This record gives sequence, structure tokens and C-alpha cells, in this order.
Amino acid sequence: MLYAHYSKGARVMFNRFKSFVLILLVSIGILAPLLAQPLIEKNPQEVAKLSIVSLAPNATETLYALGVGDLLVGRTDYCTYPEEALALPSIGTLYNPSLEKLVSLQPDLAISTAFVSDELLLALENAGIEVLTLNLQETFGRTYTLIREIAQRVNKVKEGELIILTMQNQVKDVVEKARTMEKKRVYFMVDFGSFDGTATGDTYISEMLGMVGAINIAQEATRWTYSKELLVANDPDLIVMSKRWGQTEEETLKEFSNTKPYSDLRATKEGNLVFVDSDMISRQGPRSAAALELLAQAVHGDDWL
Amino acid sequence: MRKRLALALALSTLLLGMVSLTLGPAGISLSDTLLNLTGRSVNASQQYIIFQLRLPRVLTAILCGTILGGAGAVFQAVLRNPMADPFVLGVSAGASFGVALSITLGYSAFLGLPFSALLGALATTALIFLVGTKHKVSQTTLLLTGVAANYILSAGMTLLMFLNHEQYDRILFWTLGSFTSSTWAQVLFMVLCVLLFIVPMRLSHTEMDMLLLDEGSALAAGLPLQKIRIVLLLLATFAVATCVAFFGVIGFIGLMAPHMARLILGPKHSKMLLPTCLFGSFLLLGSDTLARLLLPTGEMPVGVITSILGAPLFIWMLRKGRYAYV
Repeated sequence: MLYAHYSKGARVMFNRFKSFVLILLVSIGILAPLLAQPLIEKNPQEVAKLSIVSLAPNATETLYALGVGDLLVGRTDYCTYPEEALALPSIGTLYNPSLEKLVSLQPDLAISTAFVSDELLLALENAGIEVLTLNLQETFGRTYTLIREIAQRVNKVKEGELIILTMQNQVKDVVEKARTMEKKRVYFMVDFGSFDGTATGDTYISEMLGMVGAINIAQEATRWTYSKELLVANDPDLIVMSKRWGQTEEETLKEFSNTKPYSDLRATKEGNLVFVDSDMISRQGPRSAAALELLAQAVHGDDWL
Repeated sequence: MRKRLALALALSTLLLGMVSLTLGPAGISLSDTLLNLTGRSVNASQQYIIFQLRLPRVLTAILCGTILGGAGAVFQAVLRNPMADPFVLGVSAGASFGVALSITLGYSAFLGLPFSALLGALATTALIFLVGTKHKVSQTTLLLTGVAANYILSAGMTLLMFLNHEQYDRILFWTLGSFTSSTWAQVLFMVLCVLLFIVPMRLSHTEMDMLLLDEGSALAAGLPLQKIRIVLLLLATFAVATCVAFFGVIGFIGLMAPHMARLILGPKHSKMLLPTCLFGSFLLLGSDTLARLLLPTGEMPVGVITSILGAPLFIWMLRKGRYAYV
């Protein structure tokens, strides 16, 4: 024994002293960051202006459309429009964003629309960051609600209403024009191969298909999944395609038209496969009316022009 | 007994295959199916669904079941452990990890999915072999090694899905198994696989019986034990890896089929090997038919169904202490 030459009492004292030092060190380790926090105060000029981290591509687009893109201090990997947004630091993907990175950007407000976990939002609130959650993607009409809510929060109500009005006019024109056109039976391909994903009847993309005068063959299905049998049995006139993650449109087209049973579908054989900008369609925001018109163009082809 | 059982199994599988052809979300009636099968249907899309979607699927399920059942029997004999099976020991998980890794790193086009699966499966088999054929290794040790291998590989899969969320659905497919995208090309490939694996396996039934005895008697019979073990294990691994590459991980068939055959026919391989394969086919075809029926517009992963059927059997065997061959 190392302390054998000490008396028993002294050894106990020494052990107690060791425990005390250990507890002290651990407490300092825990408390130091908490105590240090007020020291990293924000610069005075930054305090005056609201700073925002966007946790959704459509929130980013809305902020830029409202003319307050300069309030943004952070974005996600998916916020790729408009191009200015790319200059902002990213906090990661929607599914596993970095909380540390987010907090280090010191925003006053975080705007999220979908996919972000409740735990992350709670952690943000605990860190004193205001969270605006807009989970509105059930219907096309809720796009206006989304824009209105964001506009209100950043004090751009008038600009917001203007965007909404312009969008509503464009949408009205598209819907009226589509009403005069021949109805096509359409399949909106989201994914194919081992898993068949489509815009089923319970999605707002299906609603958009209806607005542009298309009949969604997957209207009866739910939750974004479909079966190959039903796809073959329902034999769509046209397939609206979106490119796969990490592929170009040509690559997706090639893979789709070389994979059974898709290669044997009438639409594939007749070359009725059209691509749409899936980012524009899937992000409910200021570009949604333009997306609707693009979808109408894709569905009706030359007849639309 | 054996011949009658084999005949009954083959007939049931055939009947189930016919029933399976008429079932599915597209809702084709029995009479329409018969019209299509006899080539008198005029409905092109029904014809396509039956001949291009359902028939390849039924056939791949049958062939895959044969392989998984046979592979279970081989693993059990080679490792002298009645609880061994490529799924339980993590070989299937190894194959699916190989596939997922190649999708994530983007070399799947270069190596091909079956080859990537084979690499993953071989690595796991090598590990299991090194542990399992050591002298005096307990059956529990082997199973626990399998559990550990499964843990490591499933952590790896989760990591890949986490890092690569956009490919989540594609990777998830390999962990659950499905016959939904079966094609005639795959049917042909699987037929080759079955021939390459099942024929040598059936031919070496005496050796497999010997493997169950202690090393001394087998050596006395003049058998080069280690070589047979390695060849059989390699063949089984190759066949299972192909199944995984095409259809994902499908568990417990390799456990259920051999045990059912052994319960009825006893442990002699000359008697139980073919019924094992037939049991495998029947079970997997039945599971896949259920997978197609349980959800109205989508599909259920077939691996979920085989696990729901097989896991209770596994627990029952562990509880009953059936560590021995029946």
C-alpha cells in the first residue's frame, strides 16, 4: 500500500480530500460554460435586427421573396433557392441538423415547416431561440397561410399580401385554362424500383394535379406508396417524373425506361414521360403558383402554349 | 414417408402458387386468371400483371425459399449447431450491408449488387467459420457471435441510412426484403443459383451426416472434413448472398424449414434435405402472398412476415432446450 505509513485516520482524510477535489473539478467543468455564456454578448448593431435560421427550403424562399433575405444567418443543405442563399452557412440536412452549429449562429428565430424533430425544436426553445413551426403541407391553399404567417412575423404584411394576390391570380388563370383542356390520366412518379412512391390522393401534389386538369391514377392510394400491379392495371397516359437524388434527368430517364415493368408501360413506350422541377413543386412557397403552371405545361405539352 | 411428404409439399406449393397468382391489389378474379393462364384473355394489362409481375414473383419466392431452407440445413450441419442459420448468424446482414455500402459509396454500378452482397456475406461467414469450427466451441458462443455480428452490421446499416437520408428507402429495402420487383432475368439467375447450390448439397448428404458426428469418426471414415465444410459453407454463402442482393434480407426460413423437415423425417440428410428445400419454398411463397395482401394499395416487406413467423419458433426452441438435432 502506498499510504501504509500514514495512520488510518490520515488515510480516510486523504481519501475524502480526493473525493472533494474530484467533485470540485466536475462542478467547474459543468458550470463554467453556463457562467461563461453572458460573456459572448451580441454586437449592438446585430441586436436591433431580427436574425433568422431557416430550417426549411420553402421558408428560405419565402423570406427572400418578402425582401428580407438579409435577415437570414443560416440555412439547411436543402435551401438551394435563390442562389444568394447558398452563401449562408448551413446547419446540415433537415433530418440531422447540427444543434451546436445552429446555436452558434445565435439566431433570434428559427422557422421550420416539416421533418424537423420535436426534440430539436424543444432544444432550440430551451436555448432561448424562438421557434416558428408551420406544418401546413396538407393542401395547396395552406401555402398562402404559410406566406402570411412568415410575413407577419417579419413585419412585411403588405409585401406578403401582394405575393399572395399575384399567386392567386396566376393560379386562377391556370385552373380556368386547364378546365378547357382534355383530361389526362397521370402518374406522378416520386420513386421507383424496389419501392414505388407517388403523390397519392392524400397529398397536395395530387390536389395540384387535379387543378391542372389531370386525373391522378393514384387518387385512391394513401401515404405516398403505390404498387406496380395497380400502375400497370391503371395504365396512365402520361408519367410526370422527377429526377432521383444524385442523378441527372437523363440518368433517371434511362434507368426508368430500362427497368421492368416501367419499360413496358404504354406511357414509356410512347415517350410520354415528362420531367418537372420537383423542388419547385414539393416546396410550398412563393414559387408554388409558377410550379402549378409548370405542372400544367408538363401535363398538357404543346396544347398549353 | 419421405416421398409422400415431398409430393404433398410440392403439390401444396404449386397450389399456393396458383392461388397467389390470383391475389393482389389489382384484383383479378379467379376465372380471369384462368383465362389468362390458358392464353384466352384479351385484357393486355391483366396478362401483363400475371405473366410479368406475379409469375416471376411467385417463382423467385419459391427458388429463394429453396435456397434459404437449404442454406439453413448446411449451416446447421457444418457448424454442428441446430440453431445456426445465415440470418441468425448475421451472414444475410453482412450481404445487405455490402449492398448498402456500395449504394452509399456509389460503386454499386461498378461492382454490381450481387457481388457487393457476396463480399459482405463472405466476410461475415469467415468470421463465423473461424469462431464456429474451433475445437470445443460451445453452441452458445457461436450464437452469441452471430448476435454480435448482427449488432455490428445493423449499427452500420443505421449509420448508412442516417448519413444518407435521401437513399433511406432504398437502403431500408435491403434490411426488410421484398419480391415486388422480381423479373424473369432474376428467375433465370435464381434457377442457376439453385442448381449450383442444391445439387452439390444433395450429393454430399453422407458427408453432412458425418459432419454431425464427432471429428474422430468422420476422420476415421476417411473424410477430409475441413475441405467439405469450407466448400459447403461457401456455396451456401454464395447462394444466400444472391438472394439478399436481389430481394433483401429474409429471416428465419433457414431455421424453420430444416426443423420442420427434421421433426417429421429425422436428422438423416439423405431424407430431410429435399423436403427442407420444399418447406422453405412453401413458407416463403406463403409469406410473400401475405405480404401482397395485407395492405390494400401498398406492399408489406416479406422479411417482416417471416420474422413474425420464425422468431417465436426460435424462442420456443431455445426455451425447450432443443440445442440438439431432433
